[in-house]
Amino acid sequence: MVDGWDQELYQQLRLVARRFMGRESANHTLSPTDLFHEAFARVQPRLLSPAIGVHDIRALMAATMRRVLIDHARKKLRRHRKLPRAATSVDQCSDPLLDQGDRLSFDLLTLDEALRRLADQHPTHAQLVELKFFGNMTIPQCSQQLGISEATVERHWAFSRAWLLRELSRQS
Amino acid sequence: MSTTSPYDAVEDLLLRAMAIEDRQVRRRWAEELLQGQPEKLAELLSLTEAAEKPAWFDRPLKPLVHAIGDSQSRMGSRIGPYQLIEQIGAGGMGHVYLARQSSPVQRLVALKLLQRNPTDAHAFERFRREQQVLASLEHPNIAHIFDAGSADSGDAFLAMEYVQGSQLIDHCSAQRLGIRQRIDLMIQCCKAIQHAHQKGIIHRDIKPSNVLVTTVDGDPVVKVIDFGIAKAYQSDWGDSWRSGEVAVPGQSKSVLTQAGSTPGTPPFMSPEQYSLEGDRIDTRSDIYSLGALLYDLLTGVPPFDTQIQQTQSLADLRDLVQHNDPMPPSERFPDSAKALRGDLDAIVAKAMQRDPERRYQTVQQLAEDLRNYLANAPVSAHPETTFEHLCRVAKRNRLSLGAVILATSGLLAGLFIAIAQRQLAVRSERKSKQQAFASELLLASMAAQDGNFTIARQLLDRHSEASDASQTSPVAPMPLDWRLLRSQLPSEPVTIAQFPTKLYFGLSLPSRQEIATAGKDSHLRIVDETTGQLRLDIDTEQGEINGLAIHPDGTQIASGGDDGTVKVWDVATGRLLHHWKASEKQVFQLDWSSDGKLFLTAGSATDVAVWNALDFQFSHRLNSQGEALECLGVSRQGRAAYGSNMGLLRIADIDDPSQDSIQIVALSPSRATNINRCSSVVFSQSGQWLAVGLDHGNLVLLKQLEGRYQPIERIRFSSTVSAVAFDTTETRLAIGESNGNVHLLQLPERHPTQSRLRFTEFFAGEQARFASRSSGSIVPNNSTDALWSLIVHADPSDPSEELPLQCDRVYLEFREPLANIVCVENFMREWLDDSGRPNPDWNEVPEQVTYKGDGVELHFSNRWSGWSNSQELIESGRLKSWSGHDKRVASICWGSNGQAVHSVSEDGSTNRIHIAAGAIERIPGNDFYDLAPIGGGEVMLMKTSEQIQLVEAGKSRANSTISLGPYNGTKTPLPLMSRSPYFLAKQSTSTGDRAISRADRRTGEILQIDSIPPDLKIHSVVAAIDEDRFIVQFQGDGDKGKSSRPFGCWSLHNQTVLWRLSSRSELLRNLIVSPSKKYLVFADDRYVELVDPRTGFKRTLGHFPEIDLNSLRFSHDERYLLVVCEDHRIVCYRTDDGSHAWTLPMTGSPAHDAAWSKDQRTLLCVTRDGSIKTYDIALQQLTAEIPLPTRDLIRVLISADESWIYVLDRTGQVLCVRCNPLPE
Repeated sequence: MVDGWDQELYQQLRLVARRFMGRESANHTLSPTDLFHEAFARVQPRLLSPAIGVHDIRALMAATMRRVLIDHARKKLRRHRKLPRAATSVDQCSDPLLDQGDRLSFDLLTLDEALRRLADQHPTHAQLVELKFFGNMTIPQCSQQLGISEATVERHWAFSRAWLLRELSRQS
Repeated sequence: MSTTSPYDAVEDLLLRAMAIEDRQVRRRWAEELLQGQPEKLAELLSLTEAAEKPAWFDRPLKPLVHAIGDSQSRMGSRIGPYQLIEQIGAGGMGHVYLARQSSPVQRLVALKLLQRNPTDAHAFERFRREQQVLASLEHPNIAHIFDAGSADSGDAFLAMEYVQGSQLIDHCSAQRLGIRQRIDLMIQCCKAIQHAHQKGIIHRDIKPSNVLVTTVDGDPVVKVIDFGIAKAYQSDWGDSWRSGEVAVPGQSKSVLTQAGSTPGTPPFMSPEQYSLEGDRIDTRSDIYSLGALLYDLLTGVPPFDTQIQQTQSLADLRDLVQHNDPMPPSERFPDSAKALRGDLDAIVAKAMQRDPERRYQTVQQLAEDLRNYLANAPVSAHPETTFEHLCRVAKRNRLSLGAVILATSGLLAGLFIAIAQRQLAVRSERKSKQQAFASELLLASMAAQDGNFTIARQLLDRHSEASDASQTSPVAPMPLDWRLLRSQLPSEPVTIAQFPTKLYFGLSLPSRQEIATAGKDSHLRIVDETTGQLRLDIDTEQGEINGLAIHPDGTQIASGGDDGTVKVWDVATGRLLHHWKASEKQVFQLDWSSDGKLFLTAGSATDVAVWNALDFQFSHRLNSQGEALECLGVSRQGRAAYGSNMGLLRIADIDDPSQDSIQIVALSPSRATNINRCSSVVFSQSGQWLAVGLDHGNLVLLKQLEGRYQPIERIRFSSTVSAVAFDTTETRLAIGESNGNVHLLQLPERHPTQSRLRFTEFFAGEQARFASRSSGSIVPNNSTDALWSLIVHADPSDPSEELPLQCDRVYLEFREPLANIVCVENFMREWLDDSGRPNPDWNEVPEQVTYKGDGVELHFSNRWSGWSNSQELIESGRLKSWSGHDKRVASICWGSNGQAVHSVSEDGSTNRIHIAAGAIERIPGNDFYDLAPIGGGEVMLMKTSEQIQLVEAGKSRANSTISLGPYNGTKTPLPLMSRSPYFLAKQSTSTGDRAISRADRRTGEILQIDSIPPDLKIHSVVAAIDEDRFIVQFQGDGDKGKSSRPFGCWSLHNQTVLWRLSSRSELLRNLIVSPSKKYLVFADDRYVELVDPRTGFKRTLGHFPEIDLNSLRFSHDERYLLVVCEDHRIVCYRTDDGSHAWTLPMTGSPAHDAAWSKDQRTLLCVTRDGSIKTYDIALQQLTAEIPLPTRDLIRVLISADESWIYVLDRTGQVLCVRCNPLPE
């Protein structure tokens, strides 16, 4: 076993992989499990690098979840030919033909955009949002991951949240 | 304030600002603090403003993910107590499903799933509160709301009465209702709304699709649905409505369906609803909508329909509705102008006034006016002139005035109307009965799939009793779907004996057809296995009895007591033959070896003691290495299996005291004492199988492979598996649980026997490349060969060819340092069954990977053995379950005829379950490729090995096997519906199928061969119409250059071509001849062509571009033809005029083949996911689904007497499914 690997996490990932392969993948839809599987599949090859540690795995998973989700959102909208004209925010895209999934897809794409802009100015903040929202991590986990105090995480989060909301509303 | 970077300062300020609650104060504070820094102030203020808003990304991601996936995936999934059956509607906010509620009552419900709006965290709470109020609506014209809640995905659901009916307008046009009947329905609708208004509930979205019409006792009954749903979601949409940017699709129809669940639907929305000043919307808004509904009812089109065509946006629409009145119905619909002009125009106009004050103020008033209209009384909406009043009086009294003049004709007309109406009523009553029947069948089918046989039986038997009682004419047989379902149900457990003591052991005495039981009160009792009559009751005086054994010759029975003694009794007389003290401690289990020479005991002491059975002198011990034993099983092949309280099973040769041959199997990953006790163990008769029940509901099935017992399946039950018994055919295992449940498990037909190492190509996606970094070269994706070339050494060698069964670690050494290679552990062990077929379910990935030098060691220990869950097995049809006992099942045994399972429980009872024997049987052999009906009710099963098996009517197993030949070349039988002693075969040679053989039906011997002359350029014989006429395909037209082959009919007798037609493609697919030889049908390049075999007259029924056609099937009367499509449709055409009759959309897996019942009431199809589905053809409704123990079903055939259904799967197996229930 590679040193420094989180045994529990590793086992979990492994379990997911095993379950995934025992199944037929005829299902073209997305469930949280599928999402995780897909993210795992993308991350997995990189986990083998001897230099990688448990913190990297978590960060990698969060980033990958984000990418997978965005890809799916984009795919979904493209499939329905619903990629918006100029508007990208859900509030803007009030086309009654859109269903909730489409609206959420818009939301995700918009958030992704905004997050990228946040990363230009405040990279730590952007990473925090990625970990917390896409990586589904708790405040203590984020604190551990980023190497900053929990209070700072809370503060960063409050700021990032307001920043993103402002950014999203500016879109419209 | 110390700052490290500018944003830290802002971040701090933001935090401090947000600590101030009052906005004004906060603003003043900020302005004061940041005087002279306008940019910073603006930044802070914009952030504080944003920080106040709710953020959808505050919530966890997981529930949001579902929304991105498609809702189709929900089918069959469970939401709370509801199981989704099929989607029955869709709207902007969610979908409506037909669902089955399993508790507290079994019923079908309409389940509306509202996808959670991630941008509004409060929507769901609001929705819930609303629904609690709505649940108080109790009115015959309102679909009752049963339940509301939230699913795991976070979506809100609403369970309501499932209304089997059609939408209002559809109903009216389908039934061709007149104006008066339409108004009758409208009045019912008013009653519903009135009731709601009295409870303070506003519907807000009255429109035709929210008004359903069902039939109760032959009368149409309106059911209004979707009360107040719009309100709950209103604010989500508020902004968009206000912004007025909503594009309204050009057609009013699509407005209705697609904007379906917005807060009101144009043009049924009142003008005030557009302005969205919530407080202005009151009950009168509903009255406007009712007016619009009435408009639609009377004219067949919604109000403003022509103007809406021209509107571009919601704003336009709002302007239109707020500033205009709709065109009066009489003008919109000139055909009925006479009837509409006057009162009805006035009623609609009054209901649809733009100003709510000028409308009817209550629904009561509207309903009153409608009733007045029907009664020819004055309507309040229409102040009348004297002339109109006079006319009305005349109209009201028309019958009496005109009585004399119109006596005759009036009477006749009246009579005619009465008869017509009665017929209508009878028809709709029959239909509603049929609908109830179909729904109950479906419920029963679901219950049976859940293993809930009692409920399934009750649901089914209710109908058979009803039909027996009510039928005065000769008893009509139950429909095919009913019979199929009923024959699949096993019987319920019957208690045959009950004793006032705890029973600890039970044993079948097959030679006497008796059962012996014993337990706490030290009595040994022997009862008759069917009647339960007590024949022998011996007080053994041994204390509690934990074990019994029967001598192989059936004459002696032994009992093992708590006092450590063993007593042997004469089965017939109950006389004590021997007794001795076998142990100082309790004796639990005991048995004779199969030759009767040795006797084994196991108990609280360690080790199994082996005694000489002649004199009961101690012989030797079977070692348990100090572990206490819990169970003992003895095989007929001289082996003993004994399980310890540490989860270890030992298998030893009984007569070998040297203990060299003991095999130890670890059945549970944990080795702790007393938590993984083996509580029961049994061998199958041949010794091939071994079943072990463990604590905590674990059951392990082992099979003898390469001389050792290998675990091949692990199943988890809900409580300790306390008893197991194989049947003599070794296809089924009876299982008893400590919670009193009894199960019957179908043993797996295939199991892993060999394994090999595979690279998991799943990972060979975009990122998985075997990259050699030093050389910089990248090995192509998906290239397993490339990977193996990187491996310089492997132990065991050639693992990609074969990994020995016992091998649990593989070492692979790579050509380059590990750091340079990506994906070195992406391997899996692939397991194959005895026929060499891999099963993805068995694949295992390494449990652990260790890096050693330039290689990896992969550890495999899980051995394809994910625990499967008993529920999964029930769903896949392999497990049936009964609850029958209140306490632990102590023993389980098979009845002497192999048709019944007896369970003996600590609650003192002995139960018998009659197993529905052979409800599904397999015909031996696995190289079948087709089935066909032939004359005399026989079914012909064709094998690839040029053999034919014939199955007699009413039998499941093949009664004879015929081989075609001896003969050169390959031969294919040509199924022929005739009673002749011959059937025909065609011969394939290198140049095509050009010879016809006549084979003797009894022997298969070729009697006569007719070669077709080569000058006819016939390529192949494709079908036989009768013994003279054959459908043949000619060699392709060379000049056309296309690969199409003309076809025609060739007469053997006349040696001439009777007719000839061109074809579109090279191959005619799915070709069949109808039983009466009237039609020939086939698919040619996805065109379905119907040909008269006598004349060659061809007609195209339909074209299915891009869609695979799986099968074509005629109905029994040949009036209809089914086309089974790969895209989940079954399309039916009429054969007489080629017109389209109906299309049945299927949910779930597509069908591969279908069959009609004889009464043409039931359609039966087989699906790719391995189930039989039945549909009521008239109702187009699913009635039953029966999962079969296989997948990929490609053919189905119902025997001529409809007692068996034959299905063929892609692997070449034929299953016979019983569809005539056996008497119990």
